[in-house]
Amino acid sequence: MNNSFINGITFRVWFPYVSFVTLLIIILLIYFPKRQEQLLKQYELQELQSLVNTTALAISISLNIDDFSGVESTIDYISRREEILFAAIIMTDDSGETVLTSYPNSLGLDELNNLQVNAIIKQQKLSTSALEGYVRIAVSDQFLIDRISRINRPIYIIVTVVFLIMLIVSYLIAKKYSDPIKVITGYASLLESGDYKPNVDFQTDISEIKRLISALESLSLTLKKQRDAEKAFSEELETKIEDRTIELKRALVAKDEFLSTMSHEIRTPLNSIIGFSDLLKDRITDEKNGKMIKSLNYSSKHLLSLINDILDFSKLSSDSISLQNEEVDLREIINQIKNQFIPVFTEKQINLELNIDQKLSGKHVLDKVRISQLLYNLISNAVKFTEEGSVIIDIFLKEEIDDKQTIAFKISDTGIGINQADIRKIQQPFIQASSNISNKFGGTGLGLSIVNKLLELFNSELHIESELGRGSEFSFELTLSKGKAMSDEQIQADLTVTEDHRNLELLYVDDMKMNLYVLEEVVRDMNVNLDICESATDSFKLCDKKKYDLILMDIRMPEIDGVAAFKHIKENSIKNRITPIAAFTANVELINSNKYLKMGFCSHITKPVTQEKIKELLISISNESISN
Amino acid sequence: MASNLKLIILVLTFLPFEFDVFSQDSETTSFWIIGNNVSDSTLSNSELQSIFLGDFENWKNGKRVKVVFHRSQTNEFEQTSNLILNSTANELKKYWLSIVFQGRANSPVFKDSCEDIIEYVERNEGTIAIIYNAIPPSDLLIKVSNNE
Repeated sequence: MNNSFINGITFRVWFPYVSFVTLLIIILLIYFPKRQEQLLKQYELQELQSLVNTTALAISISLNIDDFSGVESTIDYISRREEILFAAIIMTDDSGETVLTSYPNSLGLDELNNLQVNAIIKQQKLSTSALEGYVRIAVSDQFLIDRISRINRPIYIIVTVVFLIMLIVSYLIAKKYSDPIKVITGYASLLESGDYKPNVDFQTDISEIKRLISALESLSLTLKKQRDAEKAFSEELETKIEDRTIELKRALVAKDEFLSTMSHEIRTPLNSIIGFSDLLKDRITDEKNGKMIKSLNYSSKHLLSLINDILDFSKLSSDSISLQNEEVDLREIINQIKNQFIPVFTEKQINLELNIDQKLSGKHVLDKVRISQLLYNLISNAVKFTEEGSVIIDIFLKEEIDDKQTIAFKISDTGIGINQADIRKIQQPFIQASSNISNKFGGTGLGLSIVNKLLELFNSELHIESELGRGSEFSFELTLSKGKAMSDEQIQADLTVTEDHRNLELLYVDDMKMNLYVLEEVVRDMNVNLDICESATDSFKLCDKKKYDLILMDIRMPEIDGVAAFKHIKENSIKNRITPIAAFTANVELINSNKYLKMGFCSHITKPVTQEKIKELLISISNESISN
Repeated sequence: MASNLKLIILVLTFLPFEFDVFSQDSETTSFWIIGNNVSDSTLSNSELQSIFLGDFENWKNGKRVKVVFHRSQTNEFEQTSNLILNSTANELKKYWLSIVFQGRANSPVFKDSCEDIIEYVERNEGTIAIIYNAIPPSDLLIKVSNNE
């Protein structure tokens, strides 16, 4: 019996009825036979008593009036009663009791006593002077039981048959009421699933069910009309949504193009401003002019930072960024970031402490650009809001399972700290703890929002603990796959990186004369032989004449752009087919960085160019030359 | 046919040795055995004793044996008891009660006088009785043989 039957309406209606009737029958079957037995016994006893009395009377009369016909007819009656074990006249005299006679056989007193063990006995004294004694008649107990059993047998059979009939009839009755409900339920399920059949395929004479079916059919009709209307509306809406989506996609493309263009257009002049101010701040010895140049340099870098933040946040918010995982050395990344901040630490006279767990494996699989951006933002924040004391960077192994390492990153500072109430607030975009902070420290208020967005990409989250006036602690955890272990040779090669880039032949291709001039100034003190040209066509000619160690290729150029020029050199230049070419662009979008690397560019350098960027690139080119 | 079957047996006091059952006081008392259509016109002593003790239910001709007695309070019944059981009237009554009670015999009929007995015997076939001090119709008399 399955659950659906037990929970079904047929069973629910049928079962209590059957249970009740079964219980009733059981009670009746127990009570009635017992009662019947009692009554029958009572009746038998009464009848027996009556028979004994009649017999005694008949005998007395026979003896008194000399008419034995009464005895004869009494005995005739007794002989026809199967239940009677015996009928006896017990004669009493001075010598005691003796059996005068008995029916059906002549029995002695002992035999009589034996028969009496399982029998019901009645006796009556004789009222005649001719004979002292009494009549005793015994009825078989077993016969009585058998008789009751015989009487009850048809009752049991009838009750069983009635019960079975009742069982079937009650089931059919229950089914009669449950079937329409099942059909209606099925019909309602069809309605629920959107199949609006016009009619319920079921005939019934139950008026309530008829009304229910009629109501459901009406409901079906109404729902069908509504669904048709909704469908039409939905189709119209879908068309509108599709149109809007296309428009939105166009708008997004336009926005991306706009951001890209704006990024390029803003960075190009910034490139010159930062490049020249960088060079000038070291060359101008006049204190007054030196301060102005430094301010110019700082402001232009700050402007660049703001542009970078806004572009990053825009990209992250539109979810158009995915992780580009590769095997990277976390130590190397941290050290690179640390190096970027060393001048600031020196300037602000605060300590930088870097603790990296020795148990961390050599390399991990992760997106180098994103982790750098993440750590850069947090360290930048720590440095920005710390006037004295130190910034501590802790990176340690928390858990290791198979080839996965869970690494905890913690950046703590002794800075101004954050009010508990402001912790949530500062993670919202464009919001800082207070306007005073904004005024004093500057910034867009996007740093932590970018961090949170990046951590979402890493399936992690940022934890902030802070105490106003005492400092802050920003932490997060990343579960990273371990990369292949570095060979001893690789480690040694890394350790022997030098800045020896003398005799390097460098070609820089850019349509902006200002940029060419900036780079000339940047590499002036680097003992690099620099050739410059303003178009891709010119670069091809130079490449035919000379073998270069590195080519810096601007991407956005009229006529032939940097990518086409790259392909041309790689395919056609005999001397520079294997020369590393770096993409040099004002486009800050990180996704493009990966795109260029995939194309085969050895690196992607964003404008504005600085001495550090060029030095770093030259060191890596130099190292690759050594290792090759 | 009926007249042929009706046998008259005159039992006389000089036949005490032939009819041992009825030997007591036979010298002073005369009695007759009468019957109606009892199949045999002559009955032996033992047959008569058995009949009057209720041992037979039917005659050979199929008729039911019906024994007719004088009332139990009469001297005749006392004499009959003496004749049949060599006992008292009460004993004979108890005896007949017991056999009727057991269903072994048809109940006997008790009559007040010899005339009543004769009249009853005349009217009912298969009846048999002992009468005293009266002369019964010859067609009712039953002869008693000396054979056992």
